[in-house]
Amino acid sequence: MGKGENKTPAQLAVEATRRALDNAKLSKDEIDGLFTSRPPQGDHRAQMNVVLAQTMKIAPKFSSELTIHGAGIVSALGYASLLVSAGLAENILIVNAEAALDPMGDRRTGNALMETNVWFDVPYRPFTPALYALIANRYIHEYGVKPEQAAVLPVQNRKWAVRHPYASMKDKGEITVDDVVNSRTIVSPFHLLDCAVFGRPVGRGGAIVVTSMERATKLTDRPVYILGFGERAVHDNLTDRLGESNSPPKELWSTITTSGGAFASRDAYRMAGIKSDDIDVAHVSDQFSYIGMINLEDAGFCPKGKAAKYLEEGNIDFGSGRLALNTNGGFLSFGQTGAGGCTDFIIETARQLRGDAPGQQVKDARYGLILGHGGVMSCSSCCILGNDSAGGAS
Amino acid sequence: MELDPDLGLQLSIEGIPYARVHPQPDVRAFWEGAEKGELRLRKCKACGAFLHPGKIACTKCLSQELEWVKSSGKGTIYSLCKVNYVFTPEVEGKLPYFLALIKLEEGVYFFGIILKQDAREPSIEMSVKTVFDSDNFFERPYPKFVLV
Repeated sequence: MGKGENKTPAQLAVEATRRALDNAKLSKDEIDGLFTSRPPQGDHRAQMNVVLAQTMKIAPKFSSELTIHGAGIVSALGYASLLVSAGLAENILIVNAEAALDPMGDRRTGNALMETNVWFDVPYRPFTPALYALIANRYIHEYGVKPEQAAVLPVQNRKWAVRHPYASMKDKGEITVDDVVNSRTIVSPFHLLDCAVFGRPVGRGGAIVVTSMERATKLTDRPVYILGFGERAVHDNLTDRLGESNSPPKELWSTITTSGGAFASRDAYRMAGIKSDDIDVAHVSDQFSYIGMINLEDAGFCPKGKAAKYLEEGNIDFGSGRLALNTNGGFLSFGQTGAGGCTDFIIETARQLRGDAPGQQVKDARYGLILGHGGVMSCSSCCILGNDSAGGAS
Repeated sequence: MELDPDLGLQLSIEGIPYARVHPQPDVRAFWEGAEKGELRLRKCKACGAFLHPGKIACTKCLSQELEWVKSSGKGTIYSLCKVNYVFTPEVEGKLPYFLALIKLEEGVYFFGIILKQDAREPSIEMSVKTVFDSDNFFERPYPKFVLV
């Protein structure tokens, strides 16, 4: 992964690519597929995948931006594996970089326009945390969640972050539940520490190479396999989500406290042939604590509405929990630079399974899961990974 | 600020034309209704579904034969949040304010703002009605919600 310091997204993307290719023992001349995801907020050129192909002077056989909001980068793993399985490409580069040098600088013009209906919603001055707050307050209303229960997520995420070399909160020390619930309220129900660090690290790049099993086992003795994937594109604006439709899954049109991730993860588990109990390490999008709770449910780790109990029982506690969750610190403590924070989740999960985690290493991890979403819980994508101890891929 | 010459609707923000971001659906009737203090919704002529005024097609059957109907303007709070943060300068001095998703009687969900008119704090499932109000950001009357 690249480190920030005033580099542009394109520079970070190329740097990440070089490191990934070195790691995979491939040259750029062997890349035959290239996927990027939601374009960086720090570079608004259309078709970042083509911009990068041009920058690196390669002509991949298959290339696209996969933009189901920020979840697209997770879906890239599935699409890449389909192409490799079909024998149509062999060395697929998935790359994402962001350097939102002033992510709040265009908050006036950019944020409401991106997230809501220009003609009806903008006059009320919505902004992303307020929109997520609508989800969180409904979730609290439906399931009776207390602030101290939600606070467990930021507290535990921070424990991983202070041990992670790239986490934006690594030098800020651990926090307690009291710290979270006593931090100032930004928009109900979110206290400051219930919110992800947005815009930091200032810049980051990540690159992943997907190749065939034959190739992977020749290039490394610790391959990580793509075992299952699934996704759902559900809405573009949260304000549009609730309405009449008979299109499946019908329950999504009458709720904002379940994401498409609930269905994406079921597809992924079915494809991988495993259950949520089998997962050792997971990363789920946690733009806000309550949202992370919803994703824990939608990832199948606990039933809908039961994440508070799941957290209270210590299931994700650092060191002792049965599930190593958000081992890079999550959006809450690792940070989210702008678009495409899920890239960090993929890389961290894969490195945990490979045994070379940058921070605290999870012991004996066999299966990993990523459930990412982008927008305002708009589109979700799930991918399940495993290593040789998981029995490899079938 | 660039305004629509007929309706006075804001057409751009900070120099970025809205139409480049999102072409304007045919919503003149909505704003004419707002002038009269009416909240208007869309109704599908083919299947009868009630729709948000911004929809261009029926979400049940895809028909684009949509008519305008008057809503009662009454509903309940489906969700809300209390904003205590100055995200853009024009809300300075106006905190806190309440954003909400309102479930109208017709089954349509409308995003808007709740004006606090008395000591009651708005919360989910409280009943609301629609009022029309202009302000320093939007020069023509537009829908806002108050507790009944």
